[in-house]
Amino acid sequence: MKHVSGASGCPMIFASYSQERRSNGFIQHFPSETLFISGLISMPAFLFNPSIASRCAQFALFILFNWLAGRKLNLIPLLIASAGIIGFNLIVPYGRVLFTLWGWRITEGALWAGLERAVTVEGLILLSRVSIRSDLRLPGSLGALIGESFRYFECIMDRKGGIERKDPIGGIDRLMLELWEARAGEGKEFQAGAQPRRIHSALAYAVLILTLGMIWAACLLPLLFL
Amino acid sequence: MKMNPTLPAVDQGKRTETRDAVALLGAFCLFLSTIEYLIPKPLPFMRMGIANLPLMLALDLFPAGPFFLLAAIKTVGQGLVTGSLFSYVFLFSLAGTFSSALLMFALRRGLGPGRIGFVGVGTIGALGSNVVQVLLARIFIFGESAKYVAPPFLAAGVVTGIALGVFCEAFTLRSVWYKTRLAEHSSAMGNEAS
Amino acid sequence: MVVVATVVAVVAVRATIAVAATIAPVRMVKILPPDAAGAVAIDGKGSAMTALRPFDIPLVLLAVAITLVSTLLVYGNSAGTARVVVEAGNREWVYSLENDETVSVTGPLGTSTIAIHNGKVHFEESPCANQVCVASGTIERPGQWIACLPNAVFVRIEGIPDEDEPDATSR
Repeated sequence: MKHVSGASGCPMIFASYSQERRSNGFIQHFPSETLFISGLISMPAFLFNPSIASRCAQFALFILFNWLAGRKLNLIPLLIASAGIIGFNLIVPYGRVLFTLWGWRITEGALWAGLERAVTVEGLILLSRVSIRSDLRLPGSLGALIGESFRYFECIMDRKGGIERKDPIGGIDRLMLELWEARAGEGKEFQAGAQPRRIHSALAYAVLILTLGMIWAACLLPLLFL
Repeated sequence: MKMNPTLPAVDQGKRTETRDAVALLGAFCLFLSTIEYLIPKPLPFMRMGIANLPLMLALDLFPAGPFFLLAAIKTVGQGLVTGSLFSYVFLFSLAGTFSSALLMFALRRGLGPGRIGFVGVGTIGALGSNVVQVLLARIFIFGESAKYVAPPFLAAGVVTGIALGVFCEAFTLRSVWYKTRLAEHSSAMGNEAS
Repeated sequence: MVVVATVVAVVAVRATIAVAATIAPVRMVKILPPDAAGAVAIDGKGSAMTALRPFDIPLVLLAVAITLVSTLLVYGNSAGTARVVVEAGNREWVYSLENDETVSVTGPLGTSTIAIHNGKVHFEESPCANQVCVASGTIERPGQWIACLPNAVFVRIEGIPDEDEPDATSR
């Protein structure tokens, strides 16, 4: 971590915010780029999986990954959102009627569609959460610009506390001016903060590749045999 | 200007100032994204437009290129901060933000700040964003019954748009930072035009 | 018809206000906390106010109108969407009249096939001897029904008839 005090004394402690959010877990020892690419690779295998059952299996895997990454997973909003999606899909009936609830026909086709969509939507969210870490740096000039935005963002989050109460506009304006002045002092020598301990062991990467293979197998096997 | 010796001459400074302003506003987009993320929403994958506020402020500050660049920063940044880059949420955010940005930019630049204020721009922008998101929801998430969600969602968009517009008007009236940047940009545009 | 009338009315109202707003001077509406350095006191009330520009109000009204129209469209007609209900024995199937579909149901005699196509429903084939069901043609209005009695398959269309269409009659 590098402390830089700008002209107005705004301490740009990079990674302080993201380190608070960073959790401990086996997966966190992989570099951010690896996680990102792994997620990118897994996404089509999940999205285009022809078998709903297989997709549920992948979904369970994603939950496992989140747990391995040490991220606390709040299941309740997930369940509520899934219930909502299924409910909305049930509104328009389709297919064989399974039973009737308060005058609404619960149909098989609509239920499957709802389940599939719910699993897909929530699964992608879970995949995103475990693949994208807050210190990910994207390539290209857009990536560099986003990195700069994140640096300012860290600074904002460091002092978000009592600013916005009584005079929000004035407070925001002062904050912006402060950051604007501070940028003059820091220049381009400001480097990214420290990454967590990296795993360079071949075993870990082997496990990663094996896992990705499993995810793709879950997609390809139903394709070949159904 | 910047004291950094590695930076070239002064006219380079103008471009870098725009870039820095984009980055700073982008940071506020991230900040508002975090706040928006924490607010419990009945429809978690559809985005309210609070994080578009810095984008609205940027309407008069940048030429088209940096403006849409800011929209891109806001979208990708929001996906990174909320960890939703791979999911439909990102798709919704992308479509919503860019349709909103397009509408707002077209209206503001087409009609001029004299004829349309932030309230009108913000309302149409929020409405456009929400309409696009409802359409996407119909395709990807809800199916036919997405239309039942449309009226309250659109209404919320209108309310959000008006609120953001009022805030922007208030902010641009008082903010010193904004006025400085506006002056810089106006003089830049004036130099190019003459 | 109701929808068209609403839209026309709203557009008329909006146009009137747009014209009036461009003629009238810029209006001040919202009150802000005064800022010591740069208070913009326009109409002498001593507090800073926001300016609404001429196009703001018409656009906001347009947005509100769109929202209202969507409300009417969605919640007005929703009860009336036509559904195709197929019954065989104690099992039931429901489909939308708008999407093409081929439904196969099994009865005591075998499998009857019902086709939903272009908003019309008819028996494609059936294992009954007299083939009355297949010959009975197509149905397309709520309230109409066709059936294959030997195979105990019943097909009907549910829903509220569209106002502009003539009343449903069963053949």
